[in-house]
Amino acid sequence: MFSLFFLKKYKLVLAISFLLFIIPFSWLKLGEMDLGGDSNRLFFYDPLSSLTSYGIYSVVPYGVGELSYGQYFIPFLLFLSFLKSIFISPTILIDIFNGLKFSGSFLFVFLIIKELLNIEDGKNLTADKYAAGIIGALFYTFSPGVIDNMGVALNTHILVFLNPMIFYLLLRYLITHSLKYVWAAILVTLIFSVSFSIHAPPIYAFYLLAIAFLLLYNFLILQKPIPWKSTSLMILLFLGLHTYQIVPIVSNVFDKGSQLNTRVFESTANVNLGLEYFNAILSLGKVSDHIFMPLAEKRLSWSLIIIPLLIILGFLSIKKKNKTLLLVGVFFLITLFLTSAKITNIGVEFYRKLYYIPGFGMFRNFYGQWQWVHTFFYALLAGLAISYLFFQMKRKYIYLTCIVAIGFISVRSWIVFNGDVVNFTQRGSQNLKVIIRMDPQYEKMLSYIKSIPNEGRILHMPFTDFVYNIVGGINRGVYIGQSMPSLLVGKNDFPGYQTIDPYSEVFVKLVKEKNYPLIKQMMALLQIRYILYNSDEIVSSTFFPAFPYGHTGTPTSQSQLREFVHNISKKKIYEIGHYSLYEVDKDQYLPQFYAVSDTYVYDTNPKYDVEYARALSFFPKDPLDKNKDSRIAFIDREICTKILSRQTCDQNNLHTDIKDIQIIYQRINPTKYKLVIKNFTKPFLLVFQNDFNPYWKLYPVNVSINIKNVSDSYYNGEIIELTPVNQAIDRNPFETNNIKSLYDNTHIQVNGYANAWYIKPNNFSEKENYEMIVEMTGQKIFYYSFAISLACLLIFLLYGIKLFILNRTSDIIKSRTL
Amino acid sequence: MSNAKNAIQSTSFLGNRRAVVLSFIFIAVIINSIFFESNSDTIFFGLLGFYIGVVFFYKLRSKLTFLFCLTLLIIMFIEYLVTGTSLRTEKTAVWFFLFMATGIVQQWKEH
Repeated sequence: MFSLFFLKKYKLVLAISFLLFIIPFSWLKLGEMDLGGDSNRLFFYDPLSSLTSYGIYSVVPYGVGELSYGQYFIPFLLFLSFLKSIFISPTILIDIFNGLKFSGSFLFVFLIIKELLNIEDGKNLTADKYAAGIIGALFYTFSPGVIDNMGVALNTHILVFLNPMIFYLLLRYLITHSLKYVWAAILVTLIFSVSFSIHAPPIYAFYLLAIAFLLLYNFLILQKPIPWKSTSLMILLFLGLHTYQIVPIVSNVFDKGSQLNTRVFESTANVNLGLEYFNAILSLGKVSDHIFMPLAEKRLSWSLIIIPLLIILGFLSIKKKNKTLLLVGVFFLITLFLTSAKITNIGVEFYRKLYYIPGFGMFRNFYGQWQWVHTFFYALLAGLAISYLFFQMKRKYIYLTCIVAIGFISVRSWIVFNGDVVNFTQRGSQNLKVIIRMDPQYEKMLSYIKSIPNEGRILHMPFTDFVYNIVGGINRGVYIGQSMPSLLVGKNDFPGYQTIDPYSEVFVKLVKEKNYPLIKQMMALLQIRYILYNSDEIVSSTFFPAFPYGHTGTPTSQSQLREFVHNISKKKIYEIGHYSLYEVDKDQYLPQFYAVSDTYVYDTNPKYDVEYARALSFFPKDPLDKNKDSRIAFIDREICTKILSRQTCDQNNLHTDIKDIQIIYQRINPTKYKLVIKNFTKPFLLVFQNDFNPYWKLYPVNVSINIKNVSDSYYNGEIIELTPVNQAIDRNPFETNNIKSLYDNTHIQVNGYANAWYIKPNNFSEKENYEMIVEMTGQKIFYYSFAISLACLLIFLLYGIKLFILNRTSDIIKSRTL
Repeated sequence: MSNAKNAIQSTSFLGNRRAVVLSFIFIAVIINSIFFESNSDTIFFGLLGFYIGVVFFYKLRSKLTFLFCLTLLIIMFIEYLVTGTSLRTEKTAVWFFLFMATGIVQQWKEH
């Protein structure tokens, strides 16, 4: 009965909401996808592959495999997999989420405005409140924060509807003290975990202010005591559920040298990067833009005054004190200050001081990070102020104003109705669209790459200036975004300049010199075995004359690309359509594990950029003599002294006889390898070509390795690589517990990024053959946290059932007494 | 006695010139918005402080402050249409912000 009542009362709102939900279904034809951008959205295309490629393990599947806790994707990818099993088509999946962004944001902003108005004057919904609520909600839904960021949306863009939803649920909880609202809010944060990762700045930008508002609202207006006991329990349950992603990320924050650690504590460093970035982009903050809120298209710009004008007229029409309106007004001004950063010179200086607070550097991109919370409070202010204005007006004028305001908001946002919000030209291109229809031949290439039974990495050609992988569709659309071979197949690759660090500037230099022998040597040090060459004219400089090419200097025309690929590879091993996979000369390939024959000691030159040019300090000017063993390593002199004497390290070249040493290795999963070293009679440097991290450890075990599953052998059988097992879930996650790791104090960085251990046979008995497990122990942090989260999930679900039963019982009792 | 007389006379002097004082402030703000590009916190807070003093002295209502916000909004909008987010538009936006903040605080204390 209540549901029918709700439907009748809010039929117009529900109708608008439904219309907004179905609009995105007209943007894409079946089979088309909008996947590109800075964020990875390939999960719409294949959520299960995404889960196995990067959702479970703490090592990224691209570049040199650095540590990164991406497990916050897990619930969301499972949810997407479930939806995909029903709807099958990625197009429909994308449409559903776009529809939710519009209809969800509209519905919940309306409900919030309605709730605030009802509480303020104690009356139920009237026509003026209804109309004002619709205007405020549409103002939010069609704001630049929602529309302008839709095309190449970041993962956090879903927050445009999740934020109002959660805010509404928490508001209802404060009003009714009914825990079902909090339970629902927690469930939403779990399902949409991708947007609630604790290292995403938009979460803090919205919820710090939203919760402050709710607390003040409760204190000043509701004036009800908060049930702290049950609230605390729900907070604990929330934290318990999200432990699987909170604990690993928090541990990463306190890891000195990690990116997160640098970001959070840079305010205390000599160079405050957050403040520097803020100063650099300060001129982009515009107060007037955040008052008039123009879309990027700037259509009907003369209509931009309507909403702010109605708000001021609303303030003028108030006859008695309205605490809710004033409180929302204060938060509107606070968010305007934060998102524009240009309110007087004193305001700017005060803003700069904020960057000395640890963690505030995450808001360096201030106008982007604060825009959603600003739009949110702006919309609430609009709804409330306009309702008080309407209260003073006759009905016919209310309807007229509504038609004018809604008409202008809708017409101004015409790109939503005609699909241009996602169907626009790819940046830097000659009239190519961002929407693609996947090329079946590229899918076959991805399948082939997946079947490769070794760990050789891939270099993409053409090579972009950033992290982007560029792939054409069969509909003259082009995908520019995160790499598909890594995120869908789990194969480490280098699509662009920013992925090949610290060799980025080395590569630029060598390409300019056309020094192919040294390019091959660089590729060996990065474990590059394959070149994925895309000969489609659509991804070349013919259609992309500037972006995303230009800086690196690698060939971008197809004729030059062909020549370049032939010069750095040995043979083509697979070709389909525009896509070819080339392999390098095996004699120049350095596998994942190798014993070092010659170590070159160097002094780091501080003039080179730490991130992209570090390798310039040591990379040789001349290619290695072909007669010499190519199993080399470069080590900084100061680091060398950690494992060898100063006298030894003062030499520039150290030679080790590794003739009889045999290494056999097998990948179990991205965070675990089995390793056998045979004929180990003298000390040597063992290199493991993954990003250096102290969490990588060696454990002595008795491992059984089946030598029959040989994938490849190198250096006349001195290194044998077995076919990877690639377990989706580790079957023995705790097998190295209670085993002491070896050689932690001789674990160093070599080659600018890789792991190496200086190991001596003394630590063992008289054995010559040693079995070890090489493990990324940071993964265990996730396992323990996941166990806690699973237990909390059980409690959470049982509690939800209890709430449901209690609610039903109370509804039945109420209906009987009535 | 004469001091009290003088005080009453001066109060009456200001009391009778409320419109003049307010006009002076509003015109000063508008001239500063339209004709001067540089930002000066002295002028921002000096004029605003003077206005707040006048509000207390004359016990002015928030409606007047919001009326002035309305004027500033219209001026800002015209500047926005003609010159985009120029220095003048931004300056008017800052005045709008400051007066809106003043109006909200006033309205809170009223009623």
